[in-house]
Amino acid sequence: MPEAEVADVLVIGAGASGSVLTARLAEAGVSVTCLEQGGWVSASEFPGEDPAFDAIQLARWAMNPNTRKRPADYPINTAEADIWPLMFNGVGGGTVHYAAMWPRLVPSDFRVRTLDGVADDWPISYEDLEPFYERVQERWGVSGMAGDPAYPPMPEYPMPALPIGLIGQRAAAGMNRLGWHWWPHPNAIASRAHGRLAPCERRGVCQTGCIAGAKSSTDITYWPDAIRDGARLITGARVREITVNQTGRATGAIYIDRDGAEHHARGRTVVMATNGVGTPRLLLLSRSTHHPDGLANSSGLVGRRLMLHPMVAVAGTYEDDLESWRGPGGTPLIGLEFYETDRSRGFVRGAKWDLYPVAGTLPHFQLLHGKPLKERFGASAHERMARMMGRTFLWEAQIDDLPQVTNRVELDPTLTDSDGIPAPRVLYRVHEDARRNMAFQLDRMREAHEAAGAIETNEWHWMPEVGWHTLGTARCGNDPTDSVVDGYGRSHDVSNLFVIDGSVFVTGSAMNPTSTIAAFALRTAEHILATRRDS
Amino acid sequence: MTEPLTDAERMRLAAIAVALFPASATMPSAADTGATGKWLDRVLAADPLRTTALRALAGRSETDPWAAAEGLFRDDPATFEDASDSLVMAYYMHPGVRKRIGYPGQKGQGPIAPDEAEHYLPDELIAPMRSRAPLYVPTPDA
Ligand SMILES: Cc1cc2nc3c(=O)[nH]c(=O)nc-3n(C[C@H](O)[C@H](O)[C@H](O)COP(=O)(O)OP(=O)(O)OC[C@H]3O[C@@H](n4cnc5c(N)ncnc54)[C@H](O)[C@@H]3O)c2cc1C
Ligand code: SF4
Repeated sequence: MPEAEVADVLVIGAGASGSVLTARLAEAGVSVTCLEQGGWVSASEFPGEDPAFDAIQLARWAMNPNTRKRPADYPINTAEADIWPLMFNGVGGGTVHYAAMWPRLVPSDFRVRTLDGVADDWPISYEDLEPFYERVQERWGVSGMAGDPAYPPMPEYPMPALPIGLIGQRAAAGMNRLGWHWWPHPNAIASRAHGRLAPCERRGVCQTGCIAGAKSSTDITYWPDAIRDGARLITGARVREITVNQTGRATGAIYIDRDGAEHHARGRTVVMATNGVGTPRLLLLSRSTHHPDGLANSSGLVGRRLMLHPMVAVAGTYEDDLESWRGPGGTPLIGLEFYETDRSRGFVRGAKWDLYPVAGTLPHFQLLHGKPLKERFGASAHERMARMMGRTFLWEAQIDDLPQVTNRVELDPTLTDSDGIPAPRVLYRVHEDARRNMAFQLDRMREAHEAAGAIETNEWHWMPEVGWHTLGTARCGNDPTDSVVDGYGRSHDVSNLFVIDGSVFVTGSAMNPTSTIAAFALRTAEHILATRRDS
Repeated sequence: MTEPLTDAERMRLAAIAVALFPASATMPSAADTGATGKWLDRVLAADPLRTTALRALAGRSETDPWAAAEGLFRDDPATFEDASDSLVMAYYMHPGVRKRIGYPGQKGQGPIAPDEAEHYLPDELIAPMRSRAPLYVPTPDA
């Protein structure tokens, strides 16, 4: 097997976290190699302008790798999962597909045990991450408006917030009537030209890739600089094992290139950035004499405590034309009235609301699935579409589903990827508490639409295909018997191994996680630099 | 590989599509727009697996097209929704239909004008939020 020269740092995965860390280390002059199983995606591949967009986004541009089946994807057994993990495998990782919503966690998310008596506290606080949230959003490219009363004070964002549009105006007026919180949502979408980002043209197809180059995905905002600064990115490199030496320290990774040849990439430090499914999969695959239950797994928690945010939504239809097909998607508003714990509601923690336009024609009919045919087809079909098109938008509630050790990623005994590597199997049951939370939020979202003047509401009360946030499967903590890595993502068992992706989350919060993943990765990069300097 | 739809299946689907999308005073029928021809081809090119559900719909024994749709919806709702989704996408792909429902497609709207954000967010709209007490629970040990 060919051996490459030893990099100071070997990063596995070129998604959100891998990009941030690699770029920072390369900028500081560290030799970094990154192995990524996928390749570069060109904006010309994005289907947003195709008239068959609705169909394409449910097939070859699906968010679910089991449906999409691109060569870089690996299968995931979800037969026993209430929610299915979604991701993108390629340079930029999930940021190629994501909606670019950029909320931070709130301070209480880091102290759920102290404040609510359940789950666990993080070993770090909001204040620890705060400077990194601020630093990362400049380069990432975030548009937003400071002053949100649901957050501690923060400086202005690098770009002004995106226009909230007619749907945002209408929804905000309804929330004001109820006295409920809302604010312009921060989005990693350029409201004006910023670095390599073009200004947003509000096409609303952000989740299948931004044709305009306005959505910040790290293939645009990080990788060109990282490569210029000397980082080595090897694409088409599917890692099957993290290697260790006789003392159990990490030495590198074995990967398979697209011609089927195996290579050994070596690094003095190894960093896992392969997301909440890919990281436990690889650690569990890396069994050795020193690590018989998988690498970094003396706590037995690798793969355990998986958190995938459940989501419920209510569509409101209004009398006037609100151009509700207009982007970004991205989202104009955030609603955090029911975010913090109020035990009188019958559950702990809460939900994050966001407002969503309805792109395409099909979703209007999908909202009516299950209804009697005569209410949606035949004589009523045209009346339905005239009533809904441009006049319908969604309130969505993302639910905090606290960690359970039984919710997990493990290796499937039979399923393998195209290289014959065991695929992950996901076992996931939504907690009773989260189910009560979902029912509560549905009622409130209906009220929010009614207060805004909706003439009709339709609900999505159960959606399995919402596992876009894969969190918790290598949690951080101070106690090596009860966590996999420390507050910098360093493995308790293997001191030159780090985890920096969404796996490190202790509790999932109800926020979209990428701003926190990126801030954590930058903090780890600075820690690696500082400890190198010290030694 | 999924076998392509036969001509007979297409004809049957065309009749069912008209039952689902008949002509109205303002809208053409599925037949007028050729929904089950080139537009359905576009849907199936994007996702050939959709053929299976369409075949199930075309193969219903009820002679009346509306009854065939009702029959599949009753016996196998998931397959009906899959098949009807394909017909919905095909019908609304026609540019004339899009125009009539006021849907421009997910096209670029041009860059954001400098005063556009303020236009949608007048001070009086956001004032209640600006004057709200903080909602967040601070870090207990900070
Ligand atoms: C449709 C969609 C919408 C989303 N919307 C939002 C949003 O609005 N806001 C938000 O905050 N988050 C959103 N997310 C989630 C966001 O994409 C993730 O939080 C983020 O990308 C996770 O970063 P990561 O570094 O943990 O992993 P990823 O970005 O998933 O990157 C992991 C990388 O590792 C690579 N990899 C995995 N296994 C191997 C292997 N064995 N060998 C080599 N390479 C490997 C993968 O190919 C991938 O490129 C969305 C996700 C999806 C799918
Ligand atoms: S709405 Fe903006 S960010 Fe989204 S796809 Fe369109 S141009 Fe890109």
